Amino acid sequence: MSTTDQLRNFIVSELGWRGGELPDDYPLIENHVIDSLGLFQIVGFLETEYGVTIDDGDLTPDKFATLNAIAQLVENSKPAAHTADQDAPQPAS
Amino acid sequence: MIGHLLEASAQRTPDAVALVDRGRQLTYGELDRRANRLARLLIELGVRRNDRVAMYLDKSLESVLAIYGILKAGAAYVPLDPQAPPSRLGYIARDAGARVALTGAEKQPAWEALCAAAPELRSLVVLGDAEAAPPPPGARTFTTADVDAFDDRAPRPGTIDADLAYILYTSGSTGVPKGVMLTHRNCLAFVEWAAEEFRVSAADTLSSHAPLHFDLSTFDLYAAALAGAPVVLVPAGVSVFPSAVRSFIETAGITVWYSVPSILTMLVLRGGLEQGDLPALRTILFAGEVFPTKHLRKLMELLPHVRFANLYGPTETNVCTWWEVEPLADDSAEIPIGRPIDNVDAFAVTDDGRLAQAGEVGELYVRGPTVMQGYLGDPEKTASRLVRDPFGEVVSQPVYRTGDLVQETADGVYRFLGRRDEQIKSRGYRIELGDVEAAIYGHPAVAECAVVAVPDELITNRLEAYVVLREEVSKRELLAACAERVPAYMVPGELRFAESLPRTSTGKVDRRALLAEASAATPEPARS
Repeated sequence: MSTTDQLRNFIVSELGWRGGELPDDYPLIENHVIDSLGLFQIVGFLETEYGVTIDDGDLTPDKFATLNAIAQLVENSKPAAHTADQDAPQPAS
Repeated sequence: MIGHLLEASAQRTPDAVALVDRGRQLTYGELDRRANRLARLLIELGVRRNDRVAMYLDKSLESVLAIYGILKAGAAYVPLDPQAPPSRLGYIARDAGARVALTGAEKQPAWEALCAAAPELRSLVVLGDAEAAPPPPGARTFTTADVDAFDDRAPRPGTIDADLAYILYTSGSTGVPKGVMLTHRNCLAFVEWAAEEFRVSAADTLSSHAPLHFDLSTFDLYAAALAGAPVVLVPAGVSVFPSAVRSFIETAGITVWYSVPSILTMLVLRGGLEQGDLPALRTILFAGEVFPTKHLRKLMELLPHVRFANLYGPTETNVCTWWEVEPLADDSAEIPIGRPIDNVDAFAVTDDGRLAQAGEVGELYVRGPTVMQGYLGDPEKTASRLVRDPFGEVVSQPVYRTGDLVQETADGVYRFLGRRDEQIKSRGYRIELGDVEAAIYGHPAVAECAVVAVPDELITNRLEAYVVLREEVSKRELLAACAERVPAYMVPGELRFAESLPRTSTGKVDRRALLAEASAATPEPARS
């Protein structure tokens, strides 16, 4: 299953998206597929599922604009360090 | 009248910016004149004092214009949640008796369903510059060109401050939303206090984060109008991203921010805020749900120059008590709901009908000019909540029973303890569990269901449903059916099938047992 398929499944089952088809290039923010809580849920999913760390600076509209964009973000993100301190200050971006 | 706030500022400072929506803005003079034209069109369409006019638009410059147009026509606006399913909005438009709606071309796909559910709704005034869209069968549309044909002087519909200004619909326990009737006086009693307490002036810049169908918006719009200050609408996409919220506050030069706590929590956790950021911001007001002390304390440490206040009150009374938050010593401090605002009387009544003394638990009652007139078209429900003052000896006035349990400390500060019924908060939204259950019951395959609220650190409560089926159906189908009846924030995050629901000794569904099970089943959050 591709990353975008996995994301789609997550959005439908965990975020409760009932608005119909979710093509890979469907604008997610404009169409209210992701709200502020949904964003946090997706980030949690990305970090757990793909073992990456999503920087605060990457929480921007363009990086979550579509399923393709999110898949790209996963690819570009650093793997999570095992001893990472969750409360360590993030670098300013 | 609320419209007078706009008129006064338009006279004093006609060229001052009133409203900013992304790249567009209107001055006080422009907003006032355009609202006057719109009001005259509405009056021409037969709108009269105390009539209800629906508003169905994505939050924008046009939606604020719509509000003022309706108010200046002497009518009450009924703001419809732009994200709610058309069937629910149709119910509201019909219940409110709206014959006219102000809308936008972006809502055209939903017009037919809306008008089908509200047969009296026959006139749609389409604001904005988009191409004229065809009206649904039986209805007619009007455009900005029609509005512009009218005179821009203020009409005088003869409204007084006892007349209705807006109807805000809230979740109803039996599955139908209730329309809270609020007058100009109700609104101004709150706005005047808030503008003075928080020293709002023309030098301020207010944000507008709350949707226009929430009473938080009355501070954003009307405190700004009273002061002649600009209000800057937070673009929808921005509030999703905490760092975008931070950038927005900085770039727009926001000085006073008012919102539910969850967005502030996300700002603290992931907004990239650093010590001393947002120097122009001087006041943060929050309402609608409990702000976890841990996150509030962190926010206060990062923004030591900002004044923080907790505002409390149901839609039926707007803000009735408040508390200024002093620097917090540790994460265990509880934030009280505080003391009554000016000119409001709040008291607690024990289970046996006595006035609660300090230290006793009681239901909070509110008396004063911010208290609603009642629920539109529902005298029975109104009578159950708006009662004669049980302690009024010489004068017996209507007082509102909040259903919130509180405890007063020795120095007159109220603490919120909980609800006495099935109403809960999630993300700052007020939800009757019965409303969600009714939506699930709407599916024929459901024999029985119960929805519980599982406490959640970030959003106060998460909804989880337990369903007993009479025939086969998938979870997905049930949740989809639910989403067609209620807004997304009311659709349960989890749905579990059960052979039967646990019962108490009196035969009622044992919600405590279900809640215990739901809480135990939930994994720990990935990030805290």
